[in-house]
Amino acid sequence: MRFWSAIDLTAAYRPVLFVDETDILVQNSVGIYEGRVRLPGYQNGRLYLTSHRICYVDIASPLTNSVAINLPDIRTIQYTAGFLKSSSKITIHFADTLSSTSSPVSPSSANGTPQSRSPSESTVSLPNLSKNFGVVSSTQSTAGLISMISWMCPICSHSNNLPPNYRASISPIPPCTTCGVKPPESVIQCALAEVATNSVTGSLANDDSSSTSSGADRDGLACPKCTFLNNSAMRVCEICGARLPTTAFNPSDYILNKSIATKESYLPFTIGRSSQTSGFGVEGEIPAFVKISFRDGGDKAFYEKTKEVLTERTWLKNLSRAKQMEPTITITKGPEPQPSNDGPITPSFGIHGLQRMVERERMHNQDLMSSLDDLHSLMKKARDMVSLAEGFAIRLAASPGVPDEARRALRESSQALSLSSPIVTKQMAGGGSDQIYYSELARQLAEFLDSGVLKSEGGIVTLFDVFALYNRARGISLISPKDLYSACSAFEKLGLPFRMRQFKSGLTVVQEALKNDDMTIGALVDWIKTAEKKQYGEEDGVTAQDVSQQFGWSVGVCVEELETAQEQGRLCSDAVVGGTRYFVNVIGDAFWDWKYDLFKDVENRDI
Amino acid sequence: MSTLTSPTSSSTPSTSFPFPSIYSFPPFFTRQPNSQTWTSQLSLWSSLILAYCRYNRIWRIDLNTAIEWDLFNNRDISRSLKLETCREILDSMVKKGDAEWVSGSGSNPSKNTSAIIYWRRPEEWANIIADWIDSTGQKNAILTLYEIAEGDLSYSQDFRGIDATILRKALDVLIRRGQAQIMKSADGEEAGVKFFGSQ
Repeated sequence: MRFWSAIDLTAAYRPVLFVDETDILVQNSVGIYEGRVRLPGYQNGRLYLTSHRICYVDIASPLTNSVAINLPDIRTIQYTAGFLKSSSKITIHFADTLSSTSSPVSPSSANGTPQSRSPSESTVSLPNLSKNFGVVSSTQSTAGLISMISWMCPICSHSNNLPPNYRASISPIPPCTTCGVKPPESVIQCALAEVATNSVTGSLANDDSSSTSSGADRDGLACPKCTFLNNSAMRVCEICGARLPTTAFNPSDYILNKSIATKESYLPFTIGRSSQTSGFGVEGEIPAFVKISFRDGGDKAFYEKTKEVLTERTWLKNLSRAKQMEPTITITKGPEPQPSNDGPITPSFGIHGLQRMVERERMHNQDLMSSLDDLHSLMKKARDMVSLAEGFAIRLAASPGVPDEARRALRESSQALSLSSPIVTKQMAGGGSDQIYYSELARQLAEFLDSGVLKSEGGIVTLFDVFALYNRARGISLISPKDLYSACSAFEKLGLPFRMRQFKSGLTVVQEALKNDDMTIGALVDWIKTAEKKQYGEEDGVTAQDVSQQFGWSVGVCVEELETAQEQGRLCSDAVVGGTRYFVNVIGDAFWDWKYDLFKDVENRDI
Repeated sequence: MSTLTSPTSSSTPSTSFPFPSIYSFPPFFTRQPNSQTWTSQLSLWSSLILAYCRYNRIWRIDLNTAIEWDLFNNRDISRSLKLETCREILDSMVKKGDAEWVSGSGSNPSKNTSAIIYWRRPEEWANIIADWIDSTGQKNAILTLYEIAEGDLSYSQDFRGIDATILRKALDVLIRRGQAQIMKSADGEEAGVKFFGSQ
């Protein structure tokens, strides 16, 4: 499993998506090959194409055998149609320096595919890396890192980040975000070259403990012009303003640590990469490609979609969005010890930090205002709004003296606003049958119900309520009642912890699969036994409303449960003008020997 | 036929009857939808009706008036039995032989409102009457029906004030056993009964 890394799954056995990752396509009955070898235990699963990854979730043992490939690792994909007994396959080639140099007949070159790398390679020139050091392919790491490259404005000294989709000498030069002045191109190029050398020296330092480092002493950096010893974090001499030689800052290390430290997986592929690099030098013999076999069709659609995603580089798009929201996170966590170098996150203290904060505040206000312009823009802003709401919630939780009601209201509204994962649509099922769509929908429904919806409804919720709640959470591309019904019917088949149940009257509810009818009714009857005596007095019994209050079910469900219990002879009803009241059934077992009770003497004489 | 109706059946019976605890259970007055519960409820109700009638010496029940009795109305818990439920209960009693509809003018049986309650079956009455004849030495004597029901000798007996229809059925049992014979008057009316005593 060289290219695949293990992934986390939700309770409903769907991959846990990263922030800003979205589901694109799902396909059933898929097996994977590494090189030309079938991987045992990975031969029947679901394949998810997301904006960041290709995830394989095994049907038989999803918890152990679920893995993913990060899309940025992929160089090319190739489609092989099925022939006779062999099902059609998609071959995924990885951008691996070893495979392209040491094995001349790599599948891609055999097919005459030109060594077309990601666009970044042709534009950003980087020093050639020696494979002996087990360094991450320069091409790919730069593709991932380019977003992290920062340059310092020569006017105001503010360190800016390069936009993630920046292409040297193609894209226009971005102006400084603080003073708005465009820097000369040489500044940007310097920054790019810097990162490139850094990654080499950094990796070198990593592999080789006797670090040759970069000429930076612990004491500081000597200015080449005026020899002033600057702090090692400085880039420009504090005295004369001359450029300082670069420090031994290792961006790839930094990113790795950063992602782990903040638990913000906006750069999931960097984690995967770093863990994979270790084995590269050793396993050079294994061809750098994997195959995915589609046993149940859907191959063509999957291929097309993956190609599209690779060309569009969706992970970068989402990344840039993630970066916009990032400051919110920094501020709630407070200042952390960060390297003072210009990392992906700018430090938020000092005057500049204040400025940023004001700026952010203004942007949030703009979000709020523009969201209300029309519904369409609200849809677009939905995700930002949710993250904003979450930000509020965190702040609310942190500050004392906030009424509980406000907290609850906010929590509920944010819950109703969004689903934890991107919505499942019919398009995701691609060319496959409705069955895939329904099972995916069922999985998402299960996640949705599991997220506290079912709990707040007392463990039993009618299908109508599910329909309303779920569609409200979706917000867009609503599902039809038929879709919902089909999805709910699939709960038990998919082994999800819910089930649909129909009452005698035809009312359909969704409830936890663990709780069978007897348990529910048992709890109900037990409660009535105590309630009759304590709360309601000996003779009063309970009404559906009482049950609803106690168990949190809707009144309709209560009536059905009570009637089912009565049907089983465990309760009996007392129909009065005010409504039906329910009692524990004592009629069923009662027996009255009236002759003995009342006419004992007479009877004895007679008989 | 109904010349010998008990005086108590027309007026509201006394309320001294010791009702069982189930009588204070509100659902007891609602027809239970569960068939098993309902069966149990039916037998409880028929027991209650039989006990109540025997306690108050009621021979027949007229639904239209009886529905107002405290038998079917628990004022303490303000519950009452519905007329159709009451009819259903009596129907089941008729099936078991504990009661019998007094057919009205031969119209359809669902219109019946009056029922004889057999808190003793005619066979039991027959035995009791035969014992009474024996113990009072009236063998071979001829008694009128009125004498049996309302006579001085029967005053302390359980069957005092017995409903004529029930009495006639009890006598029929004795006749079948050969212990009694109906004596008819010249104009064909049943005038009296002659007891032979058990051989």
